Amino acid sequence: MNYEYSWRVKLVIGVFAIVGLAIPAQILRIQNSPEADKILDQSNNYNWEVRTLYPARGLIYDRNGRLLAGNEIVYEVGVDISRVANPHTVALTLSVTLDLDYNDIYNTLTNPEGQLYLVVDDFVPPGKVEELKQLQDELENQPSDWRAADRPSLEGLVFRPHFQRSYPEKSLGSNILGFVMHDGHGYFGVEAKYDEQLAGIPVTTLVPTDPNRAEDLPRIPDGATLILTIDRDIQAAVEEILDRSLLEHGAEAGSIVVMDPKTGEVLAMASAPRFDPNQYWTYDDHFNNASEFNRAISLPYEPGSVFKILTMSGALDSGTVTPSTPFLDTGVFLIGGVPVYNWDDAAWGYQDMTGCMQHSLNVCLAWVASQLGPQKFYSYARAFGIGNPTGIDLAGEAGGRLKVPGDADWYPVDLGTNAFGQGVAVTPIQMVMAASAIANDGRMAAPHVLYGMVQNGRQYNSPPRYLGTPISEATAHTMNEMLANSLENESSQALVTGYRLAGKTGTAQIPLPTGYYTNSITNTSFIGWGPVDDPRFVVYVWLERPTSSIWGSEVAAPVFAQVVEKLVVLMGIPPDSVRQALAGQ
Amino acid sequence: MDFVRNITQKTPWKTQQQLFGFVLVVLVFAAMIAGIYLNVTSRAAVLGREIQDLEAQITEAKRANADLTNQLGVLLSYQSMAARAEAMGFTLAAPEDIEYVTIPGYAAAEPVDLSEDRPNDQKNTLPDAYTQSLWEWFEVQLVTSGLSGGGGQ
Repeated sequence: MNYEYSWRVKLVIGVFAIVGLAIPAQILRIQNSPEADKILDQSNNYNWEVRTLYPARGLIYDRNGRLLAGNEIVYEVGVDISRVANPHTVALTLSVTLDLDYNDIYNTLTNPEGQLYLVVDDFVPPGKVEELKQLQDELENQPSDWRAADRPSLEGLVFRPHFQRSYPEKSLGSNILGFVMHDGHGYFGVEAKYDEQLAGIPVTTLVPTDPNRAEDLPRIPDGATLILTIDRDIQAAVEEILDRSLLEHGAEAGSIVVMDPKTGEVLAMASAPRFDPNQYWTYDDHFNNASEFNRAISLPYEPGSVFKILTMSGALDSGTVTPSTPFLDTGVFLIGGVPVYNWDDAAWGYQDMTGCMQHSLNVCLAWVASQLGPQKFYSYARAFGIGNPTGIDLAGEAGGRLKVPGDADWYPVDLGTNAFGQGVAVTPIQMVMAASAIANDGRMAAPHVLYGMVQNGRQYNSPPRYLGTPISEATAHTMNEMLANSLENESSQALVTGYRLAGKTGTAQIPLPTGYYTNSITNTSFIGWGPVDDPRFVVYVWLERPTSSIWGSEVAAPVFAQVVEKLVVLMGIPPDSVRQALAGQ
Repeated sequence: MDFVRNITQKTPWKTQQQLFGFVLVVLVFAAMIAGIYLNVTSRAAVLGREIQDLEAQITEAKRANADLTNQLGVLLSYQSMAARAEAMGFTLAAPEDIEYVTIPGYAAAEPVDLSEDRPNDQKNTLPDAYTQSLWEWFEVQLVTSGLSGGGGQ
């Protein structure tokens, strides 16, 4: 009996011993086999997955911390084809809810041809996704008798959340902000100029799928947050005034820029027409070409008489004239063999330089330019930044055109016409920058819209930059006085009770495709600043092709006054008398 | 050695008993090691999964936070605020409506400062226990105990 059991026990022990030894032997064999490295590599592939982590796009705020551009959640809706229980229900539901083609979805789900995942739609709003999720839950919780082979089911639907750019203020400041398309890139404005900083740096990393190897995902910083110099309330007020003025004066388009002349900070920049960047796909409905997106920086035009402030500044600075230099206006001035006339074709008789500016006499300014000479005239124009982009931190700035002696298309008559802003192309922002030199004691501030950038919790503010001193401080003061007196003497519609302002109107003829000018269609402009003794703002108004009147003094000047009336309230600027009394205390 | 030889020659059952005992001790020891190893490994796996869940929750929370910031932006937008102010009977002030008074020490509002005082996001916040192997943990414990032991009183 014992012997009988003995051999059985030995057999079992032997079998167990062989199996027990075979397992480690096989382990050792595999580990040392030629395929060991390959197998190890394959297993490593399943231990990790390569994942690209995209930082959230940086936010954009106005100078007072109001959100101008943020991020909102939207969803990619897809189908995990292997999990689909009822292709008909899925295709039908998606076609109805998301307005997609039933056949396309159904055919892909029933004949996937190796496809595992189908993206049916992207950038789907949360409302639609909630609707689908609710329906999915309802179908999953049907009574058990519904659980037949052809039961309705939305199994397999996958919702992947991600961000899309959102502009809470809709069209407000859209010409400054630009927009972000679904490809994640910024177009126009700040979004394009600071695209890299806003987008941040995506990080591709190996993420362990093995929970034993779980570790912190790398903390990738979000894209930089931008704080703009723009004041939302001023921007809204200026846009409202611009839109109203376009209607009131029957103008085709327009632009208003408000800048702090001491720092170059752009407080508002309105351009019309504009659009809601949340619906950027309507771009073509609003703009014929890219230069219309932000007319204030991208659309050069012949500014007309507003340019006279630069001509007169150069003449005063060089000592060519003084405010009291007399001039006999005969109504015509011959320059380069071509006669130049006044805006009303009249002769204004004896005038001094203040009178020339006050009555905006082309003949006088052409004479001043001729006295200044082409070399000095164009030298001053260049010093004021005319002919070059200002370098404002917005995408798509145009440089305008300043023909100079030596250019193939420059003629001696250009000196005379350029003196009163014809034959030279500038953008509103160029004129604002040039005027800042007159308003700011001769120092010309570089216009900019970025106040600060926040990265990794730290805010870096942009200091003001100055692009030279085209004129002396004394000249700037003289010019301020001349322009303030001009406005007061002509009882301009640009005046605002309680505030002394300096400024100049502009009415520019528009060249036809033939190259000739017409008197019936004009660009009307006004540039002004104030308060004269301590300028806090420069305002540029440009209304294109108004139909109510062709004159800047009747169209643009009152718009300037409306803007200033808003500015003094929103910026907290007391009337001159109050301010001076307070300063004297 | 003679003693051992004597015992084995005289009492074979004792030899078997001792062998059995030795095997049993080895088995118990191996079982203990395996048990500890399994316990630590399973706890590490559970914690690893929790980490992955927390990572997902952080991502979700950041996304929700950004979305809420945007929703707040919509609620506080100019259009929205102007409509609410108008509904409440407020009107825009004109220059002539405003009276200026001197307030000693008053400083005009400066543009916003969005600096944050927060810990460095780049720093790995995961405790070592989540990433150490058992062997590394033993090493650390040995070094730590050695250091504290050498500190003296």
